[in-house]
Amino acid sequence: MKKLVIIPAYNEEKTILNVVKDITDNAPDYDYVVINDGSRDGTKKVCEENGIHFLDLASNLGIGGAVQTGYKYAWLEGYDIAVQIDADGQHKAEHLKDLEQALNINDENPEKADMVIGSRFIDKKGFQSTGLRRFGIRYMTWLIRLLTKQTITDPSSGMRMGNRKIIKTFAEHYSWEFPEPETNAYVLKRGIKVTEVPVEMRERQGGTSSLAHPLKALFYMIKITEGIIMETLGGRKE
Amino acid sequence: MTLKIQIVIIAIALLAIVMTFVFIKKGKLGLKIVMPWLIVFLLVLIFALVPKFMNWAASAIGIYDPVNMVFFLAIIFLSFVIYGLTMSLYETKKQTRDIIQKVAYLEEKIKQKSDVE
Repeated sequence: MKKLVIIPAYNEEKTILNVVKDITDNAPDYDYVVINDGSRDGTKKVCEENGIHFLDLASNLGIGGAVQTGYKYAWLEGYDIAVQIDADGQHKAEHLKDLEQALNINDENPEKADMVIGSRFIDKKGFQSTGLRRFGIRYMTWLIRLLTKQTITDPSSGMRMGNRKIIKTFAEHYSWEFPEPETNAYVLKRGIKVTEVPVEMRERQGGTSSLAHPLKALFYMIKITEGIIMETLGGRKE
Repeated sequence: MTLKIQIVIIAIALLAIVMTFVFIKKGKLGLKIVMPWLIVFLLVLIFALVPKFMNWAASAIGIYDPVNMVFFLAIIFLSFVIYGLTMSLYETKKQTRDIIQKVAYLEEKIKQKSDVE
């Protein structure tokens, strides 16, 4: 069975090596691919010097386009499982096996899920994010529940694992700007089975959040509302 | 309309039409994509040559002042053009994303192959 970790990286020269090392040490049965999303720092150099396997995007596509590159790669290379994690060191490779256990791999366990999200908020262990951000996450959970009648406790989690069906779906359709909550809504609306498993996350080890400024956060909430609603339109059950 | 401004408008319209055909000949524009603009230039030319047409057209669509009709039609036309540009920009953005993703994939394939050899 072929398993792939997708690591989208934009300006992550400080953390990328540790993230890759975490996978090769703690999840050695996984292949990985770093997607260098037109980084302006030394991310590419770090990858080349350390023999890290990476795809190099000629221009910055943003998080959505970068992650989708990984899913397209997984689809073309025939991977059975693909899992995305952040390149800032928040996610722990030791949890990959927990996600895998809840996944319906190659349609062998139809009672299991097609997509598994690693959630910080089930066991409430580890770094729990900051106040304003948690409020935003609760709002997204509420909005997704309103539109799809299903509860995702950690809709913005960047740690998600999918089977072949999800890989195909995401290779064909993936949101641009705020992909996690939007694509969660998208797959839920289309009757694809999603579940969450508890994971612990660390605080980011380097870099800054793209939503550091409060005004930016407000703008984010407005756009995310629009995005989630748009992704649930035209949904059809399979 | 004074004769002065009439001449200025006619000159601008003629210049725009001539330039459009020059650009088409040079391959910088396609006839099909620039068609709405050519029609507008021709209308401007006709209105400047025979200002009476403007009065008829205005009263035909129920606008008192021909100048208001010009503003009204200009805003509608520009809105359509900009909306169309937004659409093709989105399309181009999608195409660019697909190409960047594909190039990255192919580049890795080439690198892998040359590493083996």
